[in-house]
Amino acid sequence: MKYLVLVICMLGFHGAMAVPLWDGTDRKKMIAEGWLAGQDLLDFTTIPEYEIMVHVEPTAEEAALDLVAVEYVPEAHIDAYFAGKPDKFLVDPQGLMPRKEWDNLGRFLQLHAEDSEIDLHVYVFGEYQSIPTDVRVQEVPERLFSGVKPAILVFYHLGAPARALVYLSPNMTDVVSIAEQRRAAESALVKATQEMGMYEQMEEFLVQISVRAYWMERMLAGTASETMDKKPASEVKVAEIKGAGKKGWRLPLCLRDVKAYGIAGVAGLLILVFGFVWLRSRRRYTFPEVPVEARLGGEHAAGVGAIMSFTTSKHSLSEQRDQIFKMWD
Amino acid sequence: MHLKMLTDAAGLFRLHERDLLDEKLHRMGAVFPQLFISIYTGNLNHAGQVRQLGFWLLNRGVFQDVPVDKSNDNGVILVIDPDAKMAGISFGYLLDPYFEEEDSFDCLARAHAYWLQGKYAEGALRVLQELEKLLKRRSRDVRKNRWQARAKRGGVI
Repeated sequence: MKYLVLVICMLGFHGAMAVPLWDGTDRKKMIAEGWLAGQDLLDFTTIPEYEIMVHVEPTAEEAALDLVAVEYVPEAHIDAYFAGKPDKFLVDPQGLMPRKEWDNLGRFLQLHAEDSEIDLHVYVFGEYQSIPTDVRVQEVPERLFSGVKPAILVFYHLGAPARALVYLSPNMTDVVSIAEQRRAAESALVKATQEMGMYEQMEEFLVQISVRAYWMERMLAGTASETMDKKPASEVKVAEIKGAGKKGWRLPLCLRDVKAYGIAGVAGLLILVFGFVWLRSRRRYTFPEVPVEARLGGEHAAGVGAIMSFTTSKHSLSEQRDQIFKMWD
Repeated sequence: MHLKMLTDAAGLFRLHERDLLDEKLHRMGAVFPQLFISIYTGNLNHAGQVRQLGFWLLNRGVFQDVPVDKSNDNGVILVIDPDAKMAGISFGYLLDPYFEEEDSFDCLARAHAYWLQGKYAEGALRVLQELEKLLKRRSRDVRKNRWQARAKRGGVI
């Protein structure tokens, strides 16, 4: 009886949930619109081939149109950038950088300038900004930095370190070859791309350039034992300046030299002391041989010398000493 | 009489103490290339004989481990008598002009506290250290005086 009720209920449910059928007009309408729901699954009709997306190179005309759309540095700021030698090391007349980052990097560049014979000037541009062609960026170092302190100019696009341009002032180009300049820029780019944030990238880029500036400085002074070509970026001592601009305590750049000199001084002093002690230990002491007349029949000695008793502590040393000298007085 | 630089006839020193003292004596022999310093310990049974023994050892003794170019004139001997509780220093004619009895007493005085406690090796070591210091000072003084004399006379001494 129980099973009979169950079978009747199932039949009734099946009747109520019958599969809907397409109305002929609706079906035609949907086909005309280009989409028929469930067609691929239910009707097993042929599956339409998907179009393959092919990247088509733009034509010359389209490219020309794109060029027209390039974002240039606003005309109003061109003079602020390129009219004269900048007063500050971080040049950002457009105010692209937040105040805090601007302060940090500006301080870093200032410290670098105090510590190094080569200044580092950084011009900041937007990620997609381009410098107008009439500015002639490559002439800027010669125009603004001739006859002054050697300088490295970095035209840096925020968020796009790969677009950065690095130039040297004319008084450095004779000593530092193009290949070495390129290597400096490449190593800075490698360092920058290891960071994610745009300001962290910029900081890493400048730190690496600053390190390279140290080697350039040595080349200028003629004391570099190896060129930057021989010195791979991974081997450059970044540790001293790497943290510059980051949060946390660091020894100021001006004190790093003092520290180095201090260590060298202490080492030199220690060498001197050890040398003195060593020489002193090697020293030999002699006495001039003066002829002395033999006494008391002694061929080699006359029995001269003190004696001391150590029977008891009551017989004190001072008492014994007095006795000796009274005896001779 | 045949002796060594360290002759411990009284058996006061342990083996390692003997090595220590022997090394010190040889080192002093290198620092003062003209001199040799020796130590003799023995029971003499009479206090007055310590100085005489030093006198006799320097005049009659043959020091086997002393280079032949160093005559007994260049010797300094420390004699210790543990029974009589006496010690003395005697030196040859080379040091006669430079080393006084007071100096030798100062050397011995360094060891007084140690020898009262029966620490003979430590006391002897202190005597040798003081002796080395005094001899160096005397040598420097002599050299300085020679240079001053040369400067005064304008020639070689």
